[in-house]
Amino acid sequence: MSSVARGARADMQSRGHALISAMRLDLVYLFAEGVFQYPLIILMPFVFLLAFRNDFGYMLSVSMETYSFGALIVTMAVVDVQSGYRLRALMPVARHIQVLSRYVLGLMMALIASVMVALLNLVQSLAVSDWSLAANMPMTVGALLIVLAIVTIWIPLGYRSNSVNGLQVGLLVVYVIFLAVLLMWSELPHGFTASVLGVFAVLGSHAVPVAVVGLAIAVALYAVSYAISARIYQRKEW
Amino acid sequence: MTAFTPQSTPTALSVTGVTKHYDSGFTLEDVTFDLPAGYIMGLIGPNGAGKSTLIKLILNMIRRDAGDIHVLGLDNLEDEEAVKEQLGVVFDSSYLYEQWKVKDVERIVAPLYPTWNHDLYQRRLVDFGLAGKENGSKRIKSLSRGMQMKLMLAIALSHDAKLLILDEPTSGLDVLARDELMDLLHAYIEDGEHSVLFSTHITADLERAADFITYITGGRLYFTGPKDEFEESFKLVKGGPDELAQLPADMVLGSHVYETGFDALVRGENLATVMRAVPGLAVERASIDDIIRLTNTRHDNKGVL
Amino acid sequence: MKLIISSVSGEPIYEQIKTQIRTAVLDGDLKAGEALPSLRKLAKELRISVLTVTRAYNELADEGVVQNIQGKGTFVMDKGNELMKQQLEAQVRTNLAEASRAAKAADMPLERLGEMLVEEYRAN
Repeated sequence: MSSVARGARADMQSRGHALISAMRLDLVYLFAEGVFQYPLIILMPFVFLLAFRNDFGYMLSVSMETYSFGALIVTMAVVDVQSGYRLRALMPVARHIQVLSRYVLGLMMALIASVMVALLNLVQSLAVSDWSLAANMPMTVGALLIVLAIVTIWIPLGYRSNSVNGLQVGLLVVYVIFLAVLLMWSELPHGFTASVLGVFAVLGSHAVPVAVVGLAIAVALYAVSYAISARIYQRKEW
Repeated sequence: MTAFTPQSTPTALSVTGVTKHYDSGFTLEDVTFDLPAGYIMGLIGPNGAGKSTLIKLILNMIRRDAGDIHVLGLDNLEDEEAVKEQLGVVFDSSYLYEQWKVKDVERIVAPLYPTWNHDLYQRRLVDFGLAGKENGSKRIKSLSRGMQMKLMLAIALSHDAKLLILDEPTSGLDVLARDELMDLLHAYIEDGEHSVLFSTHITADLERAADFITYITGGRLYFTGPKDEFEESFKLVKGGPDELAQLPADMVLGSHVYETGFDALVRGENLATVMRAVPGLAVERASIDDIIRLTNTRHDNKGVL
Repeated sequence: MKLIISSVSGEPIYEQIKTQIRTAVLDGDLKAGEALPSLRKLAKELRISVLTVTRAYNELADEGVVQNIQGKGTFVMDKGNELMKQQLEAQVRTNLAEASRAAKAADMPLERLGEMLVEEYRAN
């Protein structure tokens, strides 16, 4: 191997090592408040699912499941703000790699969330008689996209913010609005809900091309979000 | 008869023409100094002078507007990761998340440093009184200031960092602990390859142990060089209350008037002239404290700097 | 080697070190060829700055009291060595010059000064 290639490979290896360091720290941040809340957050949706045993219960539990995973990203930002970012300054990892770490973890969260949604779907099909497992499977892709969307929006906000309360309140507000819309679904004007459902039906009938386009858009937005976050964080001073 | 020359050693820290403007109006202006490897440098100056700003610039916590910073020959921006692997930092309060427990700290910090030495870290914990089950289950926030400092020090010393930066580490420590710290720093630099940058406004700690002094006041560099040179280049003159006015004003760097007399600081080279102006003045060695105290009483530094 | 540093005496620390080492060498407490503690070791033990010890050692080397060998350490020179002799002689001359000035200021005749010199020489 030429020395240039060797140098490039060593570079890649050290960058890989740096990325892993950053991810390990982010994961430590996740569990900063303890491990016990997570099984609760992740299993609560199943409880609601079995409590309601209907479409509404399913929607509710899918929303809870996806939002919980998305919100984990904000937990990392909260720990940083609370400890004053100084560990971030000391760690021998370049800032853009620290940002990359969050996006990689965000993707992992999205994948885990979609698996959880598949499980919710499975449980629902076992608990409710006329539930079509197959017809509802695309929701796993939907869950993936929802978590990616949450992460896409919240990582830059996490880097921008210097207020723990700001982050936590913001997260709660969005969650409440999200749930409110869901709960009020049946109260919304029929024409509106019908047209929304109609859109979903159209999308559903062209599932594959829609999924492909959707994923392409998601990837593009993810990349843009990364660029924005990296820029915010590079310029951040504390 | 060869003399030992500090100039022939490599440079642990090289700051050149560093400038930082804050929106508030405070500016750290054109600071330049070098710390040769194997020595202790005291970074001194009154509160708000710019010492913490300087340290933040070295760590790249804030961005500089001009200048260069090199740590162990590496550019602190271009080779940031390599630089930080070699840096050990102790702040005046813990940089760890306050809810973490002492026993979790190694698990969190060690993976960041390829050169982490587990046995050394554990031994440091024992030396500092942080080892054991009871200490292990304490949360960072419940540790005293002194214990937090020791924990940061234990971490800093456990990955063979070649440059140790301490930012006000002794405020909050009693005299015994401060003495212990100075002994530790002496042992740290003993092999000639490790260096210390010690920022403090408690100059008593540096009076004996510091090799170099960099004195920053009002965002500007007032002096950098060997500590003995710093102390010897100033003299303290004392006299009766009405004698102060008779001294050449441009030679008095700063003064303090009491009921019974005055203290004034003059540069060594001006001492003869001053003594001629008012015979019978008492002359004393100026301590670091005297120098800082008296160079900060004048806010109208008309070119005496 | 016994070294006592006082931080309250007016004398600079490097001077104190020099004086005590010089005295030890002249009194024979430190033998020719003996190694002094390394710069950094001494600095650590006395809890003073490395540069201060460096200065003391360098100045002692200039006087011919010790020899600094880069990489090896600092060693006591033979009391009879040329450089030390010169230094000590220069010191004698300085002291004599001062004594002469003081004598003249006191209107003391040269013979009386000579007598005092003989008394002092014989007494020590």
